[in-house]
Amino acid sequence: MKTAIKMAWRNIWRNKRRTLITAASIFFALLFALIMRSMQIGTYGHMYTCIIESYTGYIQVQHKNFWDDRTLDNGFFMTPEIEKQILKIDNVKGIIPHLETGALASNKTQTKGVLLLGIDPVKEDKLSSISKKLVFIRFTKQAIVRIEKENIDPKIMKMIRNLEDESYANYASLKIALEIDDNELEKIIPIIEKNAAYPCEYLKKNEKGILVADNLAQYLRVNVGDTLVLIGQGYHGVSAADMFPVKGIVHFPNPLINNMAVFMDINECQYFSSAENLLTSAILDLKDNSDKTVAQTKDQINNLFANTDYIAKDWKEMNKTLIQAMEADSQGGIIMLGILYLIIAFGVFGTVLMMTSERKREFGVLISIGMQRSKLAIVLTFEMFFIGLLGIISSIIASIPIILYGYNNPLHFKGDMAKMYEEYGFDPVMKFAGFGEYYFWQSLVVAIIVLIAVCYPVRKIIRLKEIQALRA
Amino acid sequence: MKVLEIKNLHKIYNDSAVEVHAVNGIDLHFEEGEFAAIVGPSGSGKTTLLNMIGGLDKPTNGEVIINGTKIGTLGKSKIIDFRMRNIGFVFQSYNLIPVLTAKENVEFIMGLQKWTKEKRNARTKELLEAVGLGDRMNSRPSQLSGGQQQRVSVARALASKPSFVLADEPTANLDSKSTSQLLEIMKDLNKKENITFIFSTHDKRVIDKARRVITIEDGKVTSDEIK
Ligand SMILES: Nc1ncnc2c1ncn2[C@@H]1O[C@H](COP(=O)(O)OP(=O)(O)OP(=O)(O)O)[C@@H](O)[C@H]1O
Ligand SMILES: [Mg+2]
Repeated sequence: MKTAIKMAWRNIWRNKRRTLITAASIFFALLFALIMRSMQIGTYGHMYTCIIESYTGYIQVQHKNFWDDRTLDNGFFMTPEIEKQILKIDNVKGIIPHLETGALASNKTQTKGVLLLGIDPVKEDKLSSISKKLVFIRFTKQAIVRIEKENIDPKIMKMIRNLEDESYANYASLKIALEIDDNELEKIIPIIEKNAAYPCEYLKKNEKGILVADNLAQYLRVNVGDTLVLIGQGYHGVSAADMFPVKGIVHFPNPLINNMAVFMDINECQYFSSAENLLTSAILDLKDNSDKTVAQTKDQINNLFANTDYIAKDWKEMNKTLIQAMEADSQGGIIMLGILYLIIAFGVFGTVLMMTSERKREFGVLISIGMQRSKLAIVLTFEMFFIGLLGIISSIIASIPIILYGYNNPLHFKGDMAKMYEEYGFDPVMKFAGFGEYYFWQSLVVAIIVLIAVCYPVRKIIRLKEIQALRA
Repeated sequence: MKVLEIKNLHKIYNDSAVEVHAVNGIDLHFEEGEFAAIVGPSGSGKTTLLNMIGGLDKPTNGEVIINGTKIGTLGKSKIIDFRMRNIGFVFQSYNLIPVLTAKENVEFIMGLQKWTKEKRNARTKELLEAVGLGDRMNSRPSQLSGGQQQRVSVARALASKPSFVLADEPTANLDSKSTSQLLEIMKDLNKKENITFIFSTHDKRVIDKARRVITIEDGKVTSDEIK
């Protein structure tokens, strides 16, 4: 075996250039595959987290009919006993109540159907950090006129002019929108805060007031301090209508929510809907969010509530369409990789063919002097294995800095690309996943391709006739 | 002791339009320690005969018996092992494994036979010194001249002490100086190791060195003389 390995290793360097070209084709293909998978997995993960953390949570308890028919009449009353039972489960830290209902919102001539969400301002903030999504900078026309008068870099000023009517809930997204670095940001913060500050307030418990999602607010042309009329249907068909002062504008990365959400204190919302203590769902605040534990916790709750109307749903059940879309996208990527791998397969195959046909006489000599064909096949397999390994290892090494960089510096799309993403309902961020199982799988696929490519030449060796080979 | 016996050997090639009776009823036997040349004009059937003796090609008719074993009865992989243990080969050219050094080439068959490292080293050194290449142990074939390569091939063929060595025109690609050097070495080793050499040749000077000269024409032995 030692001789076989030694021969194989030396053999691949007989034609250095060919070995390097073959290894390089494997290197580039696998590198591309790794980066692509990292981006896919990272981006999906980010989208899931986005949805989970701003909307569904990891597990919700609901009335068993609510999911298919999302009306208040399929809500449930949260009693202290139920709450106690749920909180007894090890992985559950707390319960975040939601009352979700549809309503018609109108301001002057603008009217739109909205998703009204009754939330507990304190608990909700722990789950989804809504208070951090409050808009605090808005480039209104007047704000831009005021900033023009300040003495700032014309390049940045030009960017600001393009941002008319845009709102920001944090400096990070402002920095990206302006395409500036930390130093420049530092310098213009005071100027922007002075001229474009937007005075939002967060919800308080039992206080009448609403938070309106950014896009929705722009559509309805409401600002902080305005009043919005909400008309809806309360519990059991009772009509519900009232006016609410707008306390703040919230900006969500997820455009779906950004286009239709209105938030209200849950008690106010229950009052508005004539349904005291009614919830449509209870989101569970979990200690451990890993897939396995989430599944376990869900099962525990469903066991607890067997034979009742309550049911626990996890984020996967609640976001089926999103997951399906991601899977379809992922499959598209896999098909692309498949084609790429097919190309390397042919390259590798060509190399093996050349390696065998040009050494036919040598094989003839080896078999004549007493080397078994199977041993010869092993040498050849080792050769391809080494070339494959060379490509695989080098691409893994080369991918490390790229993946690490991407992981630590998510790519924020700008301009049209960002718009397109938002139109399709995606957060315009491309995240990289860190190292994971996909490294193993992609490398394995390449290794298998290499080994499959060896099959044909191995078969040829096994059938090689000594005299024919010697005459070559 | 009889190492090799050939009985009524025939080889008919009929894959082209005309049937070629390349070997046409040859009976021969070789004793331990012989140094025999097979001579004859081009196309007389020397290579065909040697290939059948070495088990590289199957006779159309007849038998090759090596140390009492009818090699025609051996299976595809058994015959390879049999060759490894009983026959040393020297080909006309490109004999050596290009990626192995002279020493590794000589060791190769001993390695297949699982000799211990010490035994291998000692035998390799002894043989490479005998063929005058004790100082080129670590050279690759590409760094050796044609004559030197053939000497390494002879060393390799003898390394695991086979019953006999088959060499099909081992000197055909060598100049006259290298030819006589190789012949001297073969003859010396034949005497020292008492291993039978059977080689084919065209070369008059080589024929002169042989102790037994078998002449074949049209696939038949026309003379067999011992000097
Ligand atoms: N594979 C083959 N198919 C058909 N005919 C063959 C084949 N191999 C050899 N022959 C024929 O068999 C005869 C003997 O050939 P062989 O190679 O044994 O001669 P040789 O004595 O070794 O000649 P040389 O001195 O030129 O090497 C020739 O007529 C040759 O054409
Ligand atoms: Mg010949």
